[in-house]
Amino acid sequence: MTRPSDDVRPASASGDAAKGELFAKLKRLRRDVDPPREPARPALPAWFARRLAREHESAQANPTRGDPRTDAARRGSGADSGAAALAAKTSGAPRDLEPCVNAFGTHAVRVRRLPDATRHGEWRLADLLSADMAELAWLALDDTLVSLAPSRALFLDIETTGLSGGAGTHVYMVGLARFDGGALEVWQGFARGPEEEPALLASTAERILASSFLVTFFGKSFDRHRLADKMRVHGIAPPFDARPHLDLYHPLRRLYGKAYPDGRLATLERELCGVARDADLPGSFAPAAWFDFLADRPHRLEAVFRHNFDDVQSLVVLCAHLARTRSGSTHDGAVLSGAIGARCAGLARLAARRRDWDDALRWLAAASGDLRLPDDLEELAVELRARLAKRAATQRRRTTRPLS
Amino acid sequence: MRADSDSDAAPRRTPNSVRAAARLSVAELVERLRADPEFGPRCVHWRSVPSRPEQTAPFPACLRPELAELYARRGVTRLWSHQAEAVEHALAGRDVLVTTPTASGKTLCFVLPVLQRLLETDGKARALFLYPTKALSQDQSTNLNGLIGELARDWHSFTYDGDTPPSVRRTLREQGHVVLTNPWMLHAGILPNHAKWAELFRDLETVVIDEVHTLSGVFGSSVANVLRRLQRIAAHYGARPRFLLSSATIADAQNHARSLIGREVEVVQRDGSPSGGRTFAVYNPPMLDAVAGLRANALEEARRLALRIVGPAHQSIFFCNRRTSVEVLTRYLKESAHEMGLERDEIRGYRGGYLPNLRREIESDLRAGKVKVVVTTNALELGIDIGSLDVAVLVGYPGSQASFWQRAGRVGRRARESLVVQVARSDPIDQYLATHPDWLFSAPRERLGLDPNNLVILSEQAKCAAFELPFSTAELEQGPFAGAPHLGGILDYLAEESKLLHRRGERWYWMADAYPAEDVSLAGGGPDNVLILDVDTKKAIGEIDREGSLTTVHEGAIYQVEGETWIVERFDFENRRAYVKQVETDYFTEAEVDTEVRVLRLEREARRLRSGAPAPAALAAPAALAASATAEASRSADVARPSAEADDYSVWSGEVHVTTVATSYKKVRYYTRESVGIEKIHLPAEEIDTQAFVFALSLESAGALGLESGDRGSAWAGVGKLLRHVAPLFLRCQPQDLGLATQVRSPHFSRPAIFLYDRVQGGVGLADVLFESHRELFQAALDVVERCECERGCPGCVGPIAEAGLLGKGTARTILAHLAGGSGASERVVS
Ligand SMILES: [Zn+2]
Repeated sequence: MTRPSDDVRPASASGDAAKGELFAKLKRLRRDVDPPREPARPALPAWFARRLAREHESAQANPTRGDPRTDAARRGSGADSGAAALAAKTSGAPRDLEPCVNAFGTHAVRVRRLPDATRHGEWRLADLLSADMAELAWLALDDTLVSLAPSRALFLDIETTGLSGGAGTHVYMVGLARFDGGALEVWQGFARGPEEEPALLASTAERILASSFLVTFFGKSFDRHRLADKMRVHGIAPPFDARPHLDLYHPLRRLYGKAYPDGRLATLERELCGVARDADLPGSFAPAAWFDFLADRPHRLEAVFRHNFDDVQSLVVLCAHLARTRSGSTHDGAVLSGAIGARCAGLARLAARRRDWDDALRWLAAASGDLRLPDDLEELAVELRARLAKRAATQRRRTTRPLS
Repeated sequence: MRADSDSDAAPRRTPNSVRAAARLSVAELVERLRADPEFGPRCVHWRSVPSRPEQTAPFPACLRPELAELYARRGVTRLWSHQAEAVEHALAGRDVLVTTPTASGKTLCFVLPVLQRLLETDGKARALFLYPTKALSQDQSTNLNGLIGELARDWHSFTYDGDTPPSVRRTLREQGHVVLTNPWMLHAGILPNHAKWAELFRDLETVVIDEVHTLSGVFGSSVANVLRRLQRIAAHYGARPRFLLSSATIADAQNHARSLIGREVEVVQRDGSPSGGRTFAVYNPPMLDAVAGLRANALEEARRLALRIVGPAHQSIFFCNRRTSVEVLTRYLKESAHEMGLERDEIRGYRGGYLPNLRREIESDLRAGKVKVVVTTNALELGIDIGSLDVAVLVGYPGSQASFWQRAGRVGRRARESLVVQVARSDPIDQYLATHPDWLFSAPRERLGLDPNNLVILSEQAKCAAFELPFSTAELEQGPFAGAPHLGGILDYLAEESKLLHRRGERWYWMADAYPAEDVSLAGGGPDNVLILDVDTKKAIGEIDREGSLTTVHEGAIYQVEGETWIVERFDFENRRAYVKQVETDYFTEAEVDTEVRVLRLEREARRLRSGAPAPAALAAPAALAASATAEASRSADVARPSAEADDYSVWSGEVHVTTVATSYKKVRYYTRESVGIEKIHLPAEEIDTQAFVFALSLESAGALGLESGDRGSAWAGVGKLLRHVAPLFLRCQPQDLGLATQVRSPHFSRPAIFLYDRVQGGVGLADVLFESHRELFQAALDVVERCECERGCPGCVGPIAEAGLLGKGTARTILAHLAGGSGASERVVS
């Protein structure tokens, strides 16, 4: 029930004072700041004070003992660390932004064109254009990719205000790259505030519809869902159904999962394509950068733009690299970078999955030439040999039966 | 694994060895019990409710013929009158609350309109069913799918709860025409991810909420906000669902529904279902010690009673208030199975914590009549279909009228005679009901404390709502949150102080890397709660609120859970953890606390003048939020300090600040209650700001009633304790939901005052209900003292002599008689 006096809304004349009072009351009731606690007694007994001090120490020594439920750690922009400090903060709107208008409003965009011949790490962007899609389809276990033209790919990477998903996570930057007239066009849509998200997503949907397929890193699990969810919230039809989608994460993990300590994009681009970024801002700083920008504080959005710009280029060269996996060499005939043993083992597994036992055994032999087989590969090898032996026996029976 | 694995211990008996008495009909049982020389006199009250014929009505004319046919195949050719009424309202698009008893076919009231709309829209109109239990029974979904199957349509009903595997969730979101879920899943799973549920929300036509009387207190106030959020999201996708609610009979049902869903509902309460004759008995165990006010143990009495009223020719259900009591009584009854003409495995326990398969097995054996006796808790109070039984024994009052009737409603459905026995315990409320059984049968008087606008709850829920969709300033004036006071200020606070929202023009956006629903609990268990951990198993065995922790988990405290005892080895106050070790003790602990209550603002006042004539209502402007420069100044300016001139007594409701310091604890031996030691407690003070019901006697009246400070002050404390104990008669709550402070000379009022405050930070409406019901509260407290058979105070009334003093009972009686007598106090506006 409503308490009668609560219905009276403070008049605007006394608004500030009323607001101050309400804030003070909320702070007190919500215990957002504990009031300075007077000691319950004039003096604590010595033993109790000692124990308190001891417990305080142990609580600090073991941070998990502290209250993990406080959300203070997640709030706002206070997150400064060594990595982030590498990127300088700027104030005001990011540079080189153009407005982009559509039926859902306006958002900003930054477009850059990189000539095909541009190098990203050890690879040229144009290397992607000669990628064999059948190879990619085979590696990604996705036959819808076979008949597509690599030049019609759209490389997608987004920046959001969090990883948790749900309607309150904003998509504020969408990087989309496509080949166009001898260049890679990198289109970075940007929302200058949450109110621009609908327009940003409408432009994104339009560009996805104009492409033939998507290339992402972990996008089947993350980017696609964040976009589709927020598009549905804004009444924009998600363009993902029935659109081929090559998520590089899965084939790369199958090939190199055990070779590197983690399966992150930064690790793979470095190991496989020789991409070295200087002063890269980790994606986890993306939320704070936008929050700072919106609150008119100095921010690191420029670093986020850069990070996103590099990410989409890495998608291009990683994709080009992936397409050369079975050949083992680059277009120029150089040996493909990356842990070769793990790669051959991964190819063996993929071949086995496709029930191509001869091929599997061949890759396995190649893998064992390079390194000692890990336990699960030993199992695979045993299984493969058993299968091949069985098949051989069956063939022998077939050929001998008519004679008996 | 079966909990009662000793069921095959006894060989099957031949029927002729069963004692003839055990074959009696329920009517004959009643006669025998009445005539019993030992038990007859202890049944202090008998009441027969004659059988009632059914009132039927035809299916509404607009109903699709295939639905009438569907039910005709199930033998239903006409509806009960209340069903027809509810269905007609629902089909007309109105919001409905059905408050008829258990087993009056409420499900049909919801299912019929939902199916009709599905038929009319060719499967477009979707429905969401909310049940207030965490683990949902699959029965309802199975039932719905059965009906749909017979209609030969490709529609689906799904249950969505914590057990729903992720692989099924997507199908369910896209193809669930009827989704059955609970408030927790709606709060933390569905609403924050509404985009994934867009299909459901776009075509959401009906929201069914079962058992809305359970939605009170912090939980109910939170759920009311979850329903605001639901309406907000539905509106975003263009839907305005109608609400179909069910409830046990409660006072002021219309108002409760309005607080819950923010709309006026059609209340359907005339029950058209038939009922067999029912006999009610109130059994008061014999007084063992009049000085101590100690009666025979209710559980032990229930077992003795069972030998008289349980038999193979009928089915009986025993309701206990605690899980351990279920185990104890089940064991007792199994031991006496043969005396009652039963096999051991015809007697089963049933409670939460049993594995689902075992529960399903017991439920179906009950329906099939294979189980003759079931001993249970409130686990069988709601929902679950176990068919109709014949005899119900309630071991102790379940704490609310609604629960009482739901338990009683488990028997006598099939137009057969049935018996309900209420066994009274020693505490004040059970003893009150033993002497005032009419209270149970009269119109419901308990009201539900519900305050969706509690600032803490509202601000937490506003976080969740802002995460789901940005708030616009227009929503302060219209839409589901329009009724919430200070919403604009709360949103500004969340933006400016908490840095969780970001205001852009007319909108507040969620602007944090967090998922708020995860941290916002519906039951109020906030991060301030203290977790109680077993040092041996490292498992949490319980949780206690911040204020309660001072007196229950201080070091050395004996912490009791369902009859098991634990000693608190260490209380890590800063990190809100208490470490306990299970022990066998012969004592329990009682903490002494100093509670200081400071009045912040009085909002409502009623008083009576010494002459007995009500005071004329003062004319003054309604109290507005004071707009003084500082909160401190405005608070003191707000506090009314009424003159005590010619006052007899005054009551208020208002805001208070409570400081509690635990000072020491006593070790008290069980049974004898002798003190075996006192230890100090060293903990910082706890403080809450909340709503209180306050009442004060003028000095003149206090003097005239013999209440002076000193020894008689303990009588004043006894009055307070008693008021707190009887409060659940008028308010759906547990006594421990209310905090108590008694002051013989209140610093604020300069006279004796009693504060009953809501123990929830900010309050959830309990104080207002007490304010409105205070005369009835006084009368009920007086009745308990007057009827109590003890000589000078006991735990069943004002407390034992050791606490209430030698003259405590007499003084308390005089005071309460004075308060309850004469004319009432008249409310005046606080200026
Ligand atoms: Zn008594």
